[in-house]
Amino acid sequence: MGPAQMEARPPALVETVVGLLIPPACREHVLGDLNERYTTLPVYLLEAATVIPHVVASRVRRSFDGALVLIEYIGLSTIAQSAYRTRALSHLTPRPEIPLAVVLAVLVLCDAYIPTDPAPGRRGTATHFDALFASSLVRAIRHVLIAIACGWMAEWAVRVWAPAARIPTSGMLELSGATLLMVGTVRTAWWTMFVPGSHVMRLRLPLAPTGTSAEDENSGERYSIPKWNLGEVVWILLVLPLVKIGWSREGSSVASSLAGAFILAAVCIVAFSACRSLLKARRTQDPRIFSELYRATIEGRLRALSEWPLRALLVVAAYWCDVSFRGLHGIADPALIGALTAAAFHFMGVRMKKNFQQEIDTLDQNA
Amino acid sequence: MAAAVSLGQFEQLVLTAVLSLRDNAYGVTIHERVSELAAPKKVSLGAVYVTLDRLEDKKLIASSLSAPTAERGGRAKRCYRLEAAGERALEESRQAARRISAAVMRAWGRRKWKHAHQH
Repeated sequence: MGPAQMEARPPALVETVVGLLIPPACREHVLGDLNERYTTLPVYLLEAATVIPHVVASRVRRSFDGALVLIEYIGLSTIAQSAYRTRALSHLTPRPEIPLAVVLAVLVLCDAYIPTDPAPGRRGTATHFDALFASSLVRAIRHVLIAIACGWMAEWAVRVWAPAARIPTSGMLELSGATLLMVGTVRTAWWTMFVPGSHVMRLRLPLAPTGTSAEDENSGERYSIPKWNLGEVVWILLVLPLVKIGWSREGSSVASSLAGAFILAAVCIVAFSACRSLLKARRTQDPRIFSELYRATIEGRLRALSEWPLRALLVVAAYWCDVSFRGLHGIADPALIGALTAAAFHFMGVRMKKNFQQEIDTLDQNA
Repeated sequence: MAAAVSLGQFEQLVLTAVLSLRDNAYGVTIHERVSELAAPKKVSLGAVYVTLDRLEDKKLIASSLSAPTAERGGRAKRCYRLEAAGERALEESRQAARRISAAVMRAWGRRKWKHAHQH
């Protein structure tokens, strides 16, 4: 290989496009390897075309979260069934599965493209939980919007090939709005609460409140974590009523309308709080601050796990009261809902314990 | 001592490449070494990445990004090194390969011996 060939490099535009297709977690070294092996443009493109599906599949395997996808599937199916009941579209029952499957597939793909390396710099930990929540919210909404757009494309394709089986535009709009709200909320809450690794570490922000504080040795500034965990509040206020409304026959009852207004108010409060916190957030270059507060946060979370059975009990009791009050025993059996809720809480507790213990081990190794 | 993880054939090749390349084990060099070991079979670079990810998930190897170099367009390398669990797994594979080899040689030797007596 001559000197001229040694210095050969792919055109910057081509490399940029190829780079966009490679998941960020492996973009740097894969692009470097392709660059090192570059001889001619066709060979480069051919090699990129064979490598990219492999690395994407590998990232999907690593980032795939079966529990999250299952929750999203149940939520989306519930929304679709609810929409059909209110619109008397039951003759189209199997049809929404096509856009829903596309939406879920795109969401899984979006997960593979989430960067995992830490972001440069460390954001101040003054009001970081809200900042973390806002960042997760922005990313979740971006993912859901991409997925919804792909769902619409799939629906348009169906309309071209099988016009008789089309879902009405108003129905698609309703499904899209409900998907944005439900999946966006689930993803935001899930990332904020259950996945301390890739999402939280990237932001260098603590996960949840403990009231712990630490001082930056260089600047003398004190950083602390606020007391209240808004993520949990939103999880209970948003997701549970939505699921409940979806399961009940009277989707437009006064109680549901009140729940909707309550949800909207909660969203506004959290969004305002999150935006304010993002503006207030300060940066620190002291890694000890992050590690110390982050560790304290996770340990606090681990301690709080013992309260989870009580929370499950409260949720089941509240649901049973609501079902009894509205006389909906025939629709959703409280015993079944109770068992499912208890199982879900148990599963989440086990998962959080495992994830947080892994985080503590990683912090210990880094230290 | 923890039980060694069982390895597939391609995983064995990749682990062997990482072992033999030592400090110079990254995507391109690992692919070249695996291609040599697997010859005449063709090996794709993508398959090597997938296997490296899987081995890393199994905690048999560890990786870190090196400093960017000009020959790679200012991109960093992801360098891999064998972990203790990876060494154990590779050793287990080596012993299994020896046992297989010995068994095959014994079978072939007996067959050849019978063949020689019949004729």
